[in-house]
Amino acid sequence: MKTLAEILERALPRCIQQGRDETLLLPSTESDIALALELAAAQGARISPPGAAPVEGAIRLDLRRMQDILSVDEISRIVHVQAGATLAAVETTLRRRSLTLGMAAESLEPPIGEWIAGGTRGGRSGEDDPIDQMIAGLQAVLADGRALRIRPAPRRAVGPDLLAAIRGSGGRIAIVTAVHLVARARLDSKELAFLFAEPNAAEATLAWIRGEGVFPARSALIPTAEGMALRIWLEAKGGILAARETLVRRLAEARGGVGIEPAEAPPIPSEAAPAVSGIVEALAKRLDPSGVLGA
Amino acid sequence: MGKFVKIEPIRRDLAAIISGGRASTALVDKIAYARDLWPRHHMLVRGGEPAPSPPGIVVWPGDTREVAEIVRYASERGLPLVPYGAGSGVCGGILPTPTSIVVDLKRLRALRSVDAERLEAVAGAGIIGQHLEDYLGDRGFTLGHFPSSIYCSTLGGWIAGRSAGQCSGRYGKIEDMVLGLEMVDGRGEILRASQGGPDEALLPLVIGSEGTLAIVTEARLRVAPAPRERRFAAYEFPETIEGLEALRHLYQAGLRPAVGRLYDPFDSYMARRGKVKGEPKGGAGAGGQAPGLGTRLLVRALRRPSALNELVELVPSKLFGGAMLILVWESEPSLAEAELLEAKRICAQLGGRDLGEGPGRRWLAHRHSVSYRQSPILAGGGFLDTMEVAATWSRMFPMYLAVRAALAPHVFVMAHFSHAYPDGASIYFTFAGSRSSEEESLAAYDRTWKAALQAVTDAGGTLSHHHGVGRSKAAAMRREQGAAIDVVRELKHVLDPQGILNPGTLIPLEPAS
Repeated sequence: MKTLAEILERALPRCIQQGRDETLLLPSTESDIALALELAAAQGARISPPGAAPVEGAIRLDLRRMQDILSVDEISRIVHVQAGATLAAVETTLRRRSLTLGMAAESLEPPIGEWIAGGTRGGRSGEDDPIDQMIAGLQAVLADGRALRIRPAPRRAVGPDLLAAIRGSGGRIAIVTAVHLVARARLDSKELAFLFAEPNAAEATLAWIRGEGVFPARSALIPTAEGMALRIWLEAKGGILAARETLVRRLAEARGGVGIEPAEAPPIPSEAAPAVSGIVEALAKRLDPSGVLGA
Repeated sequence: MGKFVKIEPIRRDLAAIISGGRASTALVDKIAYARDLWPRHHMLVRGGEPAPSPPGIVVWPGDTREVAEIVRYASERGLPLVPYGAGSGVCGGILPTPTSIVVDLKRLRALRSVDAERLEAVAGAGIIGQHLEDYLGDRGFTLGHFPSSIYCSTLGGWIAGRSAGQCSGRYGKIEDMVLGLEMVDGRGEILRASQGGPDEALLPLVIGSEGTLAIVTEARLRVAPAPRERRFAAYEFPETIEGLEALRHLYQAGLRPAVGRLYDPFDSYMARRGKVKGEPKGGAGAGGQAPGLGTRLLVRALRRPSALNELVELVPSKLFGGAMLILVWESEPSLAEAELLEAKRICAQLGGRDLGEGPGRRWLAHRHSVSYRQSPILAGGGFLDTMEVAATWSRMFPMYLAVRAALAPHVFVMAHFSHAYPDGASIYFTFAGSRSSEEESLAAYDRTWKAALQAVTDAGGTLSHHHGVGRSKAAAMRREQGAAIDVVRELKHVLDPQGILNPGTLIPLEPAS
């Protein structure tokens, strides 16, 4: 009996590559992925999606051949990019247009598909700016090979936000193949950092910074041996930036925060991958009853 | 559930579950809970059908535990349940059947706590929006959520429909304010999900699910300090497209005015008229007025929508006062002032004429009035509805034109843009029509919606920004959502395996393909 790798090699010539510890499937199109899933399901075998934990014997899907920037909508500031591209590659493209993803440099390493499957760690947060969103739409392939399309739109009220199920699911709901990422303008920036003896005071300060309408570009609360550090990144035009900075300092100092140089601030600890919620697991099982994506 | 269901024994069982035995099969309750404010329902009522599909029973549970027991009871018997807030939805999200149990959540109306340090509040899902805002205001806070239905809609209804309020530019939509939910799924299980918690993913899945996945009973919300003062600005642009450019530049520059509303020229003219006739002081609006001569003439003119639209197109935009942009800030005063200065610079650079603070202040005074303009037209025999859709900025103006063109043969149409984001905005179309008979009006209304939704999806927009889907848009969902609809169906199987929660709304009634 032929192995899945042999079957795939025949069906998708030059798409199978032997890696150091595992067999890789390197599709070039969504159709390649759909066909591979169909063949794997027929074999009762499993394909490990980008961002999933390694599984012995599974063929790993690697999207390195799908990393084109498909379009840059400069009016909407949305870049449509294949999921094999890294965030860093997108950032490079955007910077040529004076745009940015607004993420920390150290968070830009992963390919987009893995970043989404792993929970979009380091991405911009709607808690800082409620009207911002980073992912406006996406394309994906379901376990049964069907194409899933969430068209780019600012905000929609057309039922559950399925991105919530896909994000952080380890690829079990769908394999993301392309994404519409929202960029922002590169503006003047300022980083502020404060130390608090009381963690509650640091949390309250951040709540009030957001509550008063400061809209940080990013923020982080970092537990320390002495209490809690608060780091705030502001991006705005000159006068607005100055007003926001003044208010942030006032709010922090009123709650006992002591300003420090950003270079002296503790680093942001790397976040652990979030556990997949029970509801998302149950949904994955319904969408992928044969377990081809590991559900 | 079979056709012949004995309702009275079910009512007795449910009354035994609920504190105070609050379960009713009285005709007056069944009529009151038979529908929401979908204008199509209004037309049926006007045509002599006050309750085309009344429920079997209405119940008023007092807490989450009682809701869970009701759901378990219904699940075991396959009885459909319709969660009910204040019935102000406009998309037909409420349409029971004779065996349905309507679950009115308004007894779950407590503001349980306000955390002044963390800026959080916990409230029952049945609380009326204005009451919630009043209670928060008494303590110096605001939720920042001001839909025009605020007097007659509930927190749970907002969450079910992914509602947006007039100040969305600063506070976001309701999904941005929810930090946690308590809910009952279709199996009668009480679920709790919180931002940052293990079931965080459940929040965006249940928010906007229109009562089809779970009944939300309580929410933990992000609140903000109540605005100490506001800043206002208004600009007139020669045409809509220039105003749109200004709106886009403002939000892409990182400015966050709480209110950013651009009216197309005719809607600007209507907006300038401010309050409605007969409106009580304070701007609460005046519903149910009898149509005057002017309204009767207007309704007659609406029978020729193409001519009316062409006539308005012929009038130079300037005669209507151009396209008007209203901006209101509610941030901390020094921030608001800094943003206002930058906004003035942007608007002037893009050709806007400064109209001062007046239009913004007038808008604020009459902010909830517009909904009450519908009554005279309906009473006069016409029909009127609104459609709120969204698109990215690059698709915005083409979609505006496409939808106008699609609607023009059927109805008179105007629009404004009232929720802007860095990547796009919502367009709020208002349309009105009239025909010589009730049957023709209904047929024209349905044709209008079909044409409009087709134009939206063809133009790359999304079918709803904040009213939800209900039944009015369900048939068009497949065109926008494709296989995503089937994923939602599977999600419903997980949370509501018997399919008892609000069947027929949101998810189109068709077999999964």
